Amino acid sequence: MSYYGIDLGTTTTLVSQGKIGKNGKNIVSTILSIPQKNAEGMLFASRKKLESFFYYSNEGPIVGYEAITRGTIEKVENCLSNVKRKMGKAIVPWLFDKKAYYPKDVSSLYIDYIIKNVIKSNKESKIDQLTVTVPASFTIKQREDTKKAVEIALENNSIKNKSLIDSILISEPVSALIGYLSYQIENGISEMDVAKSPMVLVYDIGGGTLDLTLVQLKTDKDILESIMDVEFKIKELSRFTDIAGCDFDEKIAEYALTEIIKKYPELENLELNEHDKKRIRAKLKNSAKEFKEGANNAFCEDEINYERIFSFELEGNLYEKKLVVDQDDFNGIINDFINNPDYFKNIYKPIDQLLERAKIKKEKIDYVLMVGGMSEMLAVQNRIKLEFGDDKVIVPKGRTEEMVACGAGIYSMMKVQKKRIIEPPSDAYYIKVEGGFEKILGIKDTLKPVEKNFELASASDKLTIVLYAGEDVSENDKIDSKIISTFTPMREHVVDLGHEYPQDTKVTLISKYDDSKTDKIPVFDLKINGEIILSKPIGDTKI
Amino acid sequence: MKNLFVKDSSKLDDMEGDVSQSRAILEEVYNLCSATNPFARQKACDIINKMGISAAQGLLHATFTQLSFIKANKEAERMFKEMIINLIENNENVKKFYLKYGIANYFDSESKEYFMDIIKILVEKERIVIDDSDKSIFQQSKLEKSKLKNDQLFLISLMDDDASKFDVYLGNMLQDLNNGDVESAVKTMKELVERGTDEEISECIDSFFSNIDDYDNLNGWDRGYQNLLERNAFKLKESNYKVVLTSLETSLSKNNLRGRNKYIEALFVSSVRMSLAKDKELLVDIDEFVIATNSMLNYWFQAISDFMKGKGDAIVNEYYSQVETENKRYLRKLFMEFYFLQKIDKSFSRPIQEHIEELIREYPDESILASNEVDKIKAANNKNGTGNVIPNNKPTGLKSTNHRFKE
Repeated sequence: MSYYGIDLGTTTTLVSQGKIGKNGKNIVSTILSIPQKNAEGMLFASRKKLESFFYYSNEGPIVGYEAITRGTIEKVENCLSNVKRKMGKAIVPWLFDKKAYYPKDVSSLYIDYIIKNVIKSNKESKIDQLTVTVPASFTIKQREDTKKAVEIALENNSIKNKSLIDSILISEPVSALIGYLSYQIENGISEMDVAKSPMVLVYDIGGGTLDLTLVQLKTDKDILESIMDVEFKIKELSRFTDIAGCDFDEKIAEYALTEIIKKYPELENLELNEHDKKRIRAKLKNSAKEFKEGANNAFCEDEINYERIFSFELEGNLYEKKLVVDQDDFNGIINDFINNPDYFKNIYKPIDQLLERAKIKKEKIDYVLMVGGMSEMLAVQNRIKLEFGDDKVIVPKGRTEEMVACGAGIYSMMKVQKKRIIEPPSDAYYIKVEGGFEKILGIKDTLKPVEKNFELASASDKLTIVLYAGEDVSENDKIDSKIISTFTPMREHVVDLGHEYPQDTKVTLISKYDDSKTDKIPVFDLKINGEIILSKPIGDTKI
Repeated sequence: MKNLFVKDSSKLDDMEGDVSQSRAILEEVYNLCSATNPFARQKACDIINKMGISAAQGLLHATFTQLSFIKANKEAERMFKEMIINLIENNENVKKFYLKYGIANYFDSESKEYFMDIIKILVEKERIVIDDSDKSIFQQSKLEKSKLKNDQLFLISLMDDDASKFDVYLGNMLQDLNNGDVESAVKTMKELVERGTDEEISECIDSFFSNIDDYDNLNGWDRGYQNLLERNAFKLKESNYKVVLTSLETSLSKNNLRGRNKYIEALFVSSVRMSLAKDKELLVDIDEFVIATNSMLNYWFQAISDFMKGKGDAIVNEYYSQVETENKRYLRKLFMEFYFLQKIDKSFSRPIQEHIEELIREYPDESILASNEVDKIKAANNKNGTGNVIPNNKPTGLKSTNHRFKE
């Protein structure tokens, strides 16, 4: 049987396969190697990740290593990266050869690459169960688009098992926690004591998103033999935060550019064309990423200095500058992210916001599990340790980047054994009414439908329902401007009522989360004068 | 090159932008509107302004969610609007971004109105220019065509090239009439009458009444049309009233129409009411002009009566005493109809009522005719009251039944 998990990351995509562990009871997973293609399109090596990078070449779209090596040289304006940050958003699609590409289309190509080059070349060449990870804080639109990306990839490979799509998503922090606990059980490690029903904060900081989830673990076993022995109760999810590695890269690249301009003052006021702008930005950001990782590794190994050359070519000239930094210099460059609480990309602020929402004090957190590539950074670790103490912070060193994917493969097998983890929605849902907003579904309204009465604002045969997602409040009278500032626009539905109804007609909206799926997509019935007019998922009409 | 990493058009390619940054901007907008001293307000603005172009998305987002709150504090709203204006004026890409996501692919109708106002003011003050490349934003919009057309017209109205603008407008209006979309056609006519040259106004009015299908067919008339025409009535101004009135009369005469033309009636009454509500001196000018016309007099009388209803009767009395034309009989009938329909506000127009009662006694035959006409109107209204109303094409929203929430 073939159980797979895909970590569809902002900057890298990983795939794992679930299997039974050494004791015959636990479920573990292995990160699978992904064959890579070189600039000529030939398979040349296998690595455990695929760069989430898209390039539209003369022969059509390509992804991964080949896309980076060719695209950045051949036609940088046809390259796309960090597409996951655009998932589910109202964007104008990218146009290549008159074909529109939305984020879901681009993401489907990463999955397609993995199906074709990894899964289909496996012995069994089939998928019995599949799990794809998404940030816990992804909204319904973002989740829907991710599912569509999977559907497109499956269809492209003639995989018609529609049941795969149901409950295919799991949030990245929960997946990482599964991966970590399974690894702990498999290797007899006891860093996290599940028997004492700990409250765990999973801090997942990757290339493109920072994702937090508060989980209460429980077990009725004295000694854990399998991940199946663990009960996961999700207490709180963070709201969507796009603070992550690529922001650090850009900051470092900006710093490098300033240094280069100091060396070559003639560059300061030089006007660049769009092609050169994009090319040089990409070059500096790639170098910055390597600089960030290299400097971090050097300081982890107690080296005093780290140096790297930043360079680019422009109109036949080479501009280069060797940057030499010690740990203080390096921390100075990224200081806003780590220590400036007023900076909107501060990496600690979302923890405060999450704990405030959950009404849980910091001291009540038993463990902080740090995963995602960026959690390898010393400065990030130290910031979290400063708040929670060294003994509470667990960093699975060297495996932080793959923990999410590991958990996804394991979860695919858990699903087969009927073990489902129920995740609450990250947002409550509101609709705009005359003069304000009204909540239609809270994050705790997962068990039964919520009925709300409204009136038509004026006589009409059409009704507009504008849906927003945002932080939950206990009562409607607490929807003040502070809460409204957290609202994200979701959808606008124009509902045809069939014929005109007078002003003040009573309208009832009955909203609930679809129980048949774990993805928590809200659905609603619309009643006018007690008669059902419409019954549909909230998320199925685009503006 | 020093600005290589400053956000540019490539970073304004989605409506929401950087979520963390938008959230930060929304918090600052909240601070701006809730601050009680100018320093705190300025601090919030400084933080947003420091973000440069990349604040565009967050400010747009704020109009989706916080507009009522923003508008509740005049000084804060001024500062908020100024931030948007600065961004639009100083960067072509921001202007295009707001045209694209604030208007053409709008998420929220109130927000769209807000951005339309801003753009309109900036164009009128010649602080920005709308060109063909801006128009293409609307052509690429994902919105359904009927929604889009009005926005396109809005944009065209802001463009510099008046001649081609008129052609586009007129073409749109005729196409709408041809498709039976009277509402859109009336909106276009309104734009043209308010902005056009004399020749354009004349051509537009003539084209409208020559092409409307049920021009003289009162079966097509009902409260739905009346509301539509009243909502979209144009303003009679010092600069255009002569050409408008002449064009209306020419159109009536050219199309050989007699009696009350309901389209003209509703348009004329509404436009006169709108114009005179703020400019009573214009009344005298129009009065002098309209007396010299033939068919317009009826409508003029009705418009004045309608306008003065509830606001006093001095002008009406004065006007009526001066009328001595062949239309007097029709005017008497109209007055009587108003009386029988109880449309004259008793508390304010007692002298008018007394005068009409006098007319009724003096002209009993005309009084019977007017009374019969009123019975017919009442019967038609009752029929409409059973639900035979043209649906309102504008979608409505919801009102809360609990009134505790606040924005």
